[in-house]
Amino acid sequence: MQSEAIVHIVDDDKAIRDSLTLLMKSVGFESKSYDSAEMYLNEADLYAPGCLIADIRMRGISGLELQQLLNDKGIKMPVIIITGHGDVPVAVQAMKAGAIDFLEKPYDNEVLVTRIKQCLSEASKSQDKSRIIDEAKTYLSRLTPREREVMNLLVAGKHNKVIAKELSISVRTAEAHRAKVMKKLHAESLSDIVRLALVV
Amino acid sequence: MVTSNIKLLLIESDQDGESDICAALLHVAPTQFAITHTECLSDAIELINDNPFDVVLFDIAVAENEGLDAISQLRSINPSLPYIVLSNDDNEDMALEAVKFGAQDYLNKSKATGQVLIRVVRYAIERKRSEENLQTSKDGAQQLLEYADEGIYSVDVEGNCTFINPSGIRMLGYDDESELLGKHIHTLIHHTRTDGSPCQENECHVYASTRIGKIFHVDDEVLWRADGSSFPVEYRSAPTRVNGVINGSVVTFSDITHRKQVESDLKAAHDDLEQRVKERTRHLEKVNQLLEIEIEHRIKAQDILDKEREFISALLDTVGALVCVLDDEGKIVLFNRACEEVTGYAYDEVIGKFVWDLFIIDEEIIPIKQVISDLQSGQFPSRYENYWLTKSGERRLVVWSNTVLRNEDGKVQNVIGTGIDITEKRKIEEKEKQRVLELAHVSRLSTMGEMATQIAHELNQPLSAITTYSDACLYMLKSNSQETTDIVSALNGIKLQAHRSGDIIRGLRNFVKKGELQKSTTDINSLIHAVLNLATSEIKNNKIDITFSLDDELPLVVTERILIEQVVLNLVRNAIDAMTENGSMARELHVQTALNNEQIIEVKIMDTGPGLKPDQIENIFNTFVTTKKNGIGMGLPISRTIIEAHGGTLMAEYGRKTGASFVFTLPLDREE
Repeated sequence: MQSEAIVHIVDDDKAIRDSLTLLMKSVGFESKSYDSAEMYLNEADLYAPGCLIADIRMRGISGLELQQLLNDKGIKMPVIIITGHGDVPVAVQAMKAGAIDFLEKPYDNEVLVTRIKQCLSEASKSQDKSRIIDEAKTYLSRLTPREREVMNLLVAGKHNKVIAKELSISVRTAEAHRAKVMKKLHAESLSDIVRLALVV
Repeated sequence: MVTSNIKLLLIESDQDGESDICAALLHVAPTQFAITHTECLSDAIELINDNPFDVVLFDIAVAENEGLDAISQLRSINPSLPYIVLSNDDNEDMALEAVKFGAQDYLNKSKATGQVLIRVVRYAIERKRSEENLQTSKDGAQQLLEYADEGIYSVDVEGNCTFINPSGIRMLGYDDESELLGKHIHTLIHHTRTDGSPCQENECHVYASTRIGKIFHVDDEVLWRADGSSFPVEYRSAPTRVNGVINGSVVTFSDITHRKQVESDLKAAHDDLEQRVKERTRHLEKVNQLLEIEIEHRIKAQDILDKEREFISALLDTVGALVCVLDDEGKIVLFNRACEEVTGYAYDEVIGKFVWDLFIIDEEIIPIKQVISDLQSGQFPSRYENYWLTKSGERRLVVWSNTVLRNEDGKVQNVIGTGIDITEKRKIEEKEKQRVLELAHVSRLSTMGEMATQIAHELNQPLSAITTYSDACLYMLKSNSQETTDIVSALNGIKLQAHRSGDIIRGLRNFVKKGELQKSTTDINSLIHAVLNLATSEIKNNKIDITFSLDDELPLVVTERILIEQVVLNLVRNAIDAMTENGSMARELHVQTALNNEQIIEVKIMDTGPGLKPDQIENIFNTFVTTKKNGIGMGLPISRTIIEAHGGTLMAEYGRKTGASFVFTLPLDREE
């Protein structure tokens, strides 16, 4: 673990910033927090090693826009997006734009810490992308066509009710499919499914 | 036979002759005479001085040489005493002479027989007495003329003055009678009349008296004084006669200046009095006339009053309003038909009774009594609502308007209460209100449904922070770090965020709470902030800028707080929707509060959305009219109903630059 690597926290909610700062400290990460994307862009060393945790909804520049800005500038800063409940379509967009992960509030801090570790470790940088792809393909191949449809709709941010309606099945059936998808993909959350789906 | 005893003094020196005279007298009339005899003149003087004699017989011979002087001497002693001189043949001439000196008679002794003597004595006495009488009468007349206050003058047939008395001279302003006597007196004192015209002699009453022998009495002419001045005079002229032939006239006159003055004063006084009486009479006539008019008016007024009374009485019984009049003790003095109908009591049952003994519910009796006892202080509520008990014990809600009647001293005499039974109306109002409340509640629930996602997001913030703080704590505890500062800090964070979550949930729960609403004094500015907290997520997520211009001095206003919150939230969410659905570039929500005319609070919520078309300005408040893709058109009608129930208005206007503006008002003093 490199001591100079810094976790940048960008959120306009003070409580979120404070709690994340304490969390980073408790697991031994160096961190800095900013109450807006503008402040981050102005104050942070964008080229130094580190990673970025950004709320997707903020006054001024949003998390998504910030990610885009960094991409445009060619800055390879690993980004973890935090979203509110039900913001899946936006999160998917973030993943497509290269985010490492997106976490729904209230997020699992263990997952967060793991992701940050991945971002900061040399291993993640040199991770064999093909291995991940293979793994993902293996998981996905286990899905039935119907389960595949359900998964696609989930990744599109659709709720169970909507999925049921679009597939002309009952909500209960949709829920059952969803549970199977989660199990087959070893996914603990929607974001796991999205990540797998996007990799392929 | 009555005889006067004549006291006679005989003065005779003839010693033997005594007997002749005395004897002669006594012989003829022995009882008629009381004779005193003396021979000496000096004795005679003493006797005359001391005794009242009726007659003296004096023998001239006693006087000897003194003769006539003796007679004068005796006479001077008592001039009224008659003296008869006795003589003899030798001195008869001397006796005659004595008569000229005042003796009454003389008598030759030789011829003095008894009868002659007596006659002579008697005549002498009588003559003397006549003389005396005449003299006395003459003296009286003279004195009368001398001392009379009236002026007296006489004229002869020629008109010349023959006499004038001292008063006349003085009145006419002359010094001496010589200035007038023998003068033609008319031209001196009687030439001109009062009015200045000449007084002709042929018109003069004085001369007329002389001419025609009549007495004239005149009091309207003037006499002229020596100095040329005149004075008003009253005179009487009467003819004078000698042996039946008129020889002139005598005039008595008085200066009547004073009398005329008095008369004139009297007349003036009389005239004045007359004038006053006339004026007084005129005044009285006028007063009388006015009184008659007044009486006529009174009769008319009474007539009108009577008609008015009947009219009022009829009116009182036909109006639907309750009319109840109390005296200053709270006793009922008037109770109209509407009162009878509402209460079930008849007029006769309530008159004279205390109002609280029949109609007032228990808990209001004491306050009502207090109001009546404080009546004179003027603290009477002009308008209030209370319950009246009917005869059957039912409660009727009545809204009263009161007036007080004062007597001329300003003391309150009566309270006139005019009431309307609003029992049914209030029930309907309550139902209506309940209906609006239910509708508003449904609307709030629906709003909350719409806002659920946003609110969940809002709630996620503190919850996420809490889990992160908790995990941080766990990591720190696992690592056995001795450092507790961060743990304490994390725990404080947890506590704070838990409260934050609680606040969000409480706000929500209050907003969707149903049932009895409580009126409360509301600070509109803080209400606006509370509502905007509910909408924080929506505002933030839609990247809307909020600006405020709130009046810090805004007074509190009594409202159903939740309903007003609902209105504000509805307007704010409409504004947000308008700006996001349109994809407006500038998204600015402006909230403004102000106090108008010190009595109306005005709240304005402005957006920068697409704004309203002219026809939308009004019909947007109609039910089921909406500009939103997913709207049902209930929010604004409900909001308007709520605001109107608070006595205010809710209007749509054009915004400042772009967009729409919604304004609602809340009056501070609201008529219930």
